[in-house]
Amino acid sequence: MATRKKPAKPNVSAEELKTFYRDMLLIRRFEEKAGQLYGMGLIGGFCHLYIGQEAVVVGLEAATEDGDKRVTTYRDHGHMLACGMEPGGVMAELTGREGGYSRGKGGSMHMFSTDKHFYGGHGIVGANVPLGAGLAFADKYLDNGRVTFTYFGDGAANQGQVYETFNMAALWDLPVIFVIENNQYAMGTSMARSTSTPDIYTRGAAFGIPGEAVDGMDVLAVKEAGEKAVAHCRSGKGPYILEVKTYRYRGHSMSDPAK
Amino acid sequence: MQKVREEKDCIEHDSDLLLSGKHATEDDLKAIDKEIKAQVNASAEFAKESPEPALEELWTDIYATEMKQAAPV
Repeated sequence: MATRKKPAKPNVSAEELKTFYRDMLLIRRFEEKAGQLYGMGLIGGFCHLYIGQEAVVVGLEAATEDGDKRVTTYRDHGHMLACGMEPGGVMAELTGREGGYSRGKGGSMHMFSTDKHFYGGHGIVGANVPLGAGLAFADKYLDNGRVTFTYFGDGAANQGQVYETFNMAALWDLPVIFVIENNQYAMGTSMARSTSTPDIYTRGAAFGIPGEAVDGMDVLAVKEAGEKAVAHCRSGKGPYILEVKTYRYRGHSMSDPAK
Repeated sequence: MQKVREEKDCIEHDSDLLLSGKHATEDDLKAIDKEIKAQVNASAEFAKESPEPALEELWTDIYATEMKQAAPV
C-alpha cells in the first residue's frame, strides 16, 4: 500500500470530519461490544467483525444520496450502521431477539432494511455480487438515477459469478459500483497464495469497466473515490470498480484465530 | 498488523486531522467517545432485554404468502 499522503488542505469541512469520526467510532465500539457479547455466550453462530475497515463504509456512505442501494457480504454490521440502521436493532438481531431487524431469526449475516435501502447481509461468498447487479438493473429500468454499492472481499473476487456479473453489468451499462474490500486475507489465506494478480481493480479491464485502488484507511480518500465512481454511474457510463485496500484487525470470524 | 494499527488506523487519522487543524479539542473528542459508548451500551441492553422469538415464529417468513402449518412436532 502506498504510504499515506498528508493532504495539505483536505477538501472536507470540520463538521464532516467530526461526523466521520463519530460514525467510525460507533462501528468500532459496536463491534467491540458484539465481540464481548459473543464471548459471554449471548451471541451464537457466526459473527464477523468489521474492526479496522470502518473508513471504507463511512467514506463511501458520504458519497451516496438518498435512495442509493447497498448490498454486502456477511461482514455486514459496519455497513448497516453506516447507512443509518439502528444499533439496537442490529445488536438484538445478533443476540437472536424479537427486537432485531429480522425479528431474531436471521442473525449476524441476514439483516435487511428496505427503509435504508440495505439489501443484506449474505452468507454465500460472492453471491451478493449478481444481486447487486440485479438491483442496479431495476434502477436502470426505472430510470431513477440511483446507484447500487455492491461490496465484496478479495477472496470473493476470485469467484466465477463475479465475472459473469461484470460482463452483464458492462453490457447493459448498469449503475453499479463494485467495491472490493481488500483486507488481504481470504479467511486465513493471504492474497499472495490465492490471487494471481495483485491489482484486483484491473480485473474489470477485460469487460471495459474502469477501476481504481484506494487507501481504505483514509476516509477522505475513500469518499473522494466514491464520489468519482458515483458520478460515473449516475451519468449512465455503466459500472465502476473500487478496490479499497484495508486491514481487518481481528480474525476472519469469532471462531477463527486473531490473525 | 500492529504497525498498521499504530500508524494507519482510520479513526486515529481522522482525530489527528481534527486536532491538528484545531477543529476540535481533546475534550470535544472525549465527549463524542462518551456519547458513542452510551449509545452502544444502550443497544446492548436492548439486545439483552428484548425477548426471544415466540415458538409460533418458527413457521413464519418461509413462504411469500403465509400458509397454514401443522403444529410443530
